[in-house]
Amino acid sequence: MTPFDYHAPKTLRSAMRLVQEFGDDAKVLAGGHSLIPSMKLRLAAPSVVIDLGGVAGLKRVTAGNETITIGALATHYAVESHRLLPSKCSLLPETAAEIGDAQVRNRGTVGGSIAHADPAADWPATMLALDAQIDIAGPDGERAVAASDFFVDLFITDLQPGEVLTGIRIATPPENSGGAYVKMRQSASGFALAGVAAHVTLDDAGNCASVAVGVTGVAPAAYRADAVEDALVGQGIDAVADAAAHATDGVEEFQEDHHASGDYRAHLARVFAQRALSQAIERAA
Amino acid sequence: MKLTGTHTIGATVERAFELLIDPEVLARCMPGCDKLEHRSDGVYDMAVSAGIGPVRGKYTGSVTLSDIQPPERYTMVVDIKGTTGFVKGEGIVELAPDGENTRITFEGDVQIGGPIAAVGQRMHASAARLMTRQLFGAIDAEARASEDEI
Amino acid sequence: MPVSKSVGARIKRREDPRLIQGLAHYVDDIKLPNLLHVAILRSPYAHARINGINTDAAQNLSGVKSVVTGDDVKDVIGGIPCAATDPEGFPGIKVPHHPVLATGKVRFVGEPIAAVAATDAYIAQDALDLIEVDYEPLDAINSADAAFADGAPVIHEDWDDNMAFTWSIAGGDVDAAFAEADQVVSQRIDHQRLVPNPMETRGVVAQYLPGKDQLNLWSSTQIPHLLRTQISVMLSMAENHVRVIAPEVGGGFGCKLNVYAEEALLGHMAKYLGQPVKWIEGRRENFLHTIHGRDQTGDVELAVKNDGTILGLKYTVSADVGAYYQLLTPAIPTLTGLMLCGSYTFKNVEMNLKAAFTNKMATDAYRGAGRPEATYLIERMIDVVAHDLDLDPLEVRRKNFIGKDAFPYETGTAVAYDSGDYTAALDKALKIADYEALREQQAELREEGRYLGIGFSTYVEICGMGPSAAMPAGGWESSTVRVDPTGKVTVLTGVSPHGQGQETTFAQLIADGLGVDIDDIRIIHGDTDTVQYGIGTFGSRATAVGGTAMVHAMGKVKDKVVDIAAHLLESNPQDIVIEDNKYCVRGAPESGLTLGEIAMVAHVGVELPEGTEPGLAESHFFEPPNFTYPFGTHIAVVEVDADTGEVEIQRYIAVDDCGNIINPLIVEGQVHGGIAQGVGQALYEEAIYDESGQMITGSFMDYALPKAHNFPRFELANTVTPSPVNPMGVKGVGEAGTIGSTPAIANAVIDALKPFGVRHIDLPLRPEKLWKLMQET
Repeated sequence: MTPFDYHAPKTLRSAMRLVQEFGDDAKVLAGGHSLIPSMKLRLAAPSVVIDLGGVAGLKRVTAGNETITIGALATHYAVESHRLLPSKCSLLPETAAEIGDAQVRNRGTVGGSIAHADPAADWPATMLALDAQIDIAGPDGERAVAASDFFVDLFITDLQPGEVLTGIRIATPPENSGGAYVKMRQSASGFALAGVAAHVTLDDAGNCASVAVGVTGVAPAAYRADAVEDALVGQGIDAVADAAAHATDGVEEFQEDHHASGDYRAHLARVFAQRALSQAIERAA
Repeated sequence: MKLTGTHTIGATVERAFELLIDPEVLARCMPGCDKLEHRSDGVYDMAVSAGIGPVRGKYTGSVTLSDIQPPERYTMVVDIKGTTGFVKGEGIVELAPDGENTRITFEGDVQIGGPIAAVGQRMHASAARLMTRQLFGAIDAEARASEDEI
Repeated sequence: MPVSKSVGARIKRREDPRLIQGLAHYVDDIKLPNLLHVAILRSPYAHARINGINTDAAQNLSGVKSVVTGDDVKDVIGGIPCAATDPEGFPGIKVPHHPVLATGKVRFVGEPIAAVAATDAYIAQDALDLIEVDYEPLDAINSADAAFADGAPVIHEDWDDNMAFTWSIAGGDVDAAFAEADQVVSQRIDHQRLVPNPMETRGVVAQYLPGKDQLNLWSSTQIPHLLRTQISVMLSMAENHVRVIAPEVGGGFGCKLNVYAEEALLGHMAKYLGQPVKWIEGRRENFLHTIHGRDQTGDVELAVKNDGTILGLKYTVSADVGAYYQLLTPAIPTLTGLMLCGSYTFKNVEMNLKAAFTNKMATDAYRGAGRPEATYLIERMIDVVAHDLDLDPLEVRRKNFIGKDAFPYETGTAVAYDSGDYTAALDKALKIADYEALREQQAELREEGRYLGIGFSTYVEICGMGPSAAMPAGGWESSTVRVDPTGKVTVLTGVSPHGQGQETTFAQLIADGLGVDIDDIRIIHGDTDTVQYGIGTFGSRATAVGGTAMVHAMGKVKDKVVDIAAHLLESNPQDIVIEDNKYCVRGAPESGLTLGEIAMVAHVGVELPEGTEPGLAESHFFEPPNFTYPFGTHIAVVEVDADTGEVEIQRYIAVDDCGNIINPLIVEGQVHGGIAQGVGQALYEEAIYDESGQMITGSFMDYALPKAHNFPRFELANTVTPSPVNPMGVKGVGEAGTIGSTPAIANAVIDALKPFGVRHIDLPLRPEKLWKLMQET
């Protein structure tokens, strides 16, 4: 066994100190659903593991009238089962329920998934669609990054060495809004072959005042489908089909493997954009 | 696995070619390169710490540059292995002028074996493309920086 | 057999409480003093020469006791055995030496090269990284076609090519059938490579007792006795000094019906090191180096009349069997040949098989073992015939069914189906499905651009393996039934259940047969020092063959019990009956004796009838006169999403006939799991090796097993056509679900895509494949 030092800080401050001390040699452990399997397979061998599991205050999920907050260590299940979220922002529990299986959702964390930035993970799509702010603590204090600036490339995020993701903030959607997440599961892993999260707010005429669409599984990193959004703002449900056709505009490189070609993933993204947007608009109405 | 792609380098074809086959530049620009030392004609010993996401490994082996036809094309063979598996890639790199820049086209075959082959297949293509993107991106940055100096 | 209080009842499995509570003992639960842990270095190359191995650094690692390479063991451990190499059966067969550790060359990814024994499993694993192997990679072969191509690299250099063996079967007059045909319907059919994936991977613990010269070997196996014989040969030990124990075994699906390198290697290391050793297979190792299933591709031709009558069948097929043979590798495709005629009357049939060595793991028995290939191809071809002749696939089936009065029925492949009523099973399934309404619904949905498909499989399979004449050294089964002085019953059975529930069903048979409470019965299996020689559990044989052996042994015990009872009750044996678990004179239940009271007399030995031996234990070795032939109809109803190609199974109806049923709950459980596994082949599973011979589906991230959410609630029913082959009239049900379900799903999906002109699609039916076909029209 490649030996590693295990640290279990109790406060964010001591966690930060450890992260800065060990730098690149350290891996931060949240729910452990990507790091631990990699270590067991001996594909990862960090010399230091900093377990955030015992850090106070990172597990909370709150759903206020203004803001929804998800602590970095909140499990998928905590979001799936939150009492207020179905009425405040149903897209969050709907996405959580699509992740892995019950065991994974009970252990895996929202923050871990986002920081890991698997190109086929479910959360990035939804965080993009909800215009989430990612809260980050670092050597120079705290900062927040919009989800659309956070997912950079294959497993690469805006997180810098010495920084730790501490939570996610989402503006509580207004009354006349709705969201939906539609995906096809890769038949083995359950990750998204393609997944589209859509969130819309309607104006008084029933047209889209604002639209946000996040796409995962298709490109090296999850992305906002800006072209779809531009095509739909100010329009109603009749415009969804045409708008959804732009779901992969601007994508230069597609994920592909023996489960699905790039062309097929792109096609799924367009189909699911249409389905997610139609559902979102229905829910908003 | 087939690997193809195109990249742009902000320099003339002649300058881009020089950069691409310069071992010092390659050592700086190749992601995770710990060592690149000339062994014999066109063959370089290499050590890299490479990885995608949490999967990281140290690999040692060689890079061979051959069939060098300045400033148009050359063949590059990468043959490295580590405890997480091995990677063997062979490809042809072609350069062509693209306005003031150089357009690089590469076409090759990559073989991945050992543990990383069996458990990471969905990442193979995108990881390989990410690394080439990083390599040519860094060379482009280097080209543009050296241009600034001039 | 009449249904009495126990047989035929839905009794919960007696095995389950210990499994559910974590109280079962698997190989990995065995802990011995001074136990060393073994890790195996495996080839990362599909095909390479080994120019040298340096183990110095590994040997020097603290905690490492020993590092063993192929050169160290090649003279002391014999080759891995294959039981099907007779050149009369397999003309031209090449039988390569199959070493437990490679020497000179590796031939597939995962092939063992060296073994490390260390004080803990982590150190053993660490040491593997320190072994330096100088590989010289060679071109790899990843398919039968590539193996047979001109100029292909040769995998076994003792020969000139990669042809492993050929096999043929022919019946009737195929040429005449094709001359008489109105049409010849042809299709290339692929049976993709599959990984068995039992929940418990393999594992071995070996302990050598020098004072007794005894080797104790715990292995997660389906065949402890056959394994003991083979290990004694491989290690040159006297067989009666080798004890093999199959403790709790967490599933096998055929992949543990084998003899593996690690079993012999660990046995050798325990003896050589003088310390017990343990090796537990990792899941990744299991993917690479536990046998695989299927991997045949062939051309089927059917000679048909325009009315759908099938006159004959030709199947020309290549099998990719991997780099070496395991225990039964060449035998598996022969089972395909035996069952090519399916449930149908045509007798003109011919199969010609060529098997290729490739740089992959060996294929061998995986749930169904050869029969799923036969059933899939004939059931798929029936639908292709219906498609080409514009007939209803049901009509084609009915037209060609073997009638219920034709049994016993000899097929064109010279096997004798024991009993059957194929129409009855089909009719029952159609009634449950409400077939007419389904077709109406299908037509309506098509109008809306929705694609419902209805698929049939009217399968028959071959089970209850033997008899010995057909399966030498693997056809019979044994049992001992003994009654302790206090009346507790112990059964020793040669079968080796690993999930099939025979600790329950066998106890049900004993409870009724001997008039004893089921809680007073213990079924012992899987220990060669305890149980008389037996064969094991595979080929849906445990109850039909092993259960019959037990019933015969029980009959002998019962005769003796009745004799003693008659003597004690001063009556005649023919007047003794069992009432309320008491042996009494007919009409006088008040003076009856319990089995315990009679057993005590048998053991005290004083009041026995004259000439009766004391004690109460009998054995029986049962040789079945024939195989059994379960059958049934499966109907799948699926919807294919026109936009994405995704398949949703809406309904699944299975009417299975496995003869008489001892425990309906267990039969349903076997059918549930079987259906799921067959659907896995139809929709999800595929072991893929890339061009360089790397297995790229080597984990559950990429190898898709079916999951509970993929299924609707199954609609199950049975017809009961008892088998004449054994006194219980049972046939076997371990593989029926798997065999029946793959073609039902394939036919349903292809039926759904009929409006797109689709005639055939190879498995697995991934959404992208279906979507592309829908785009093409």
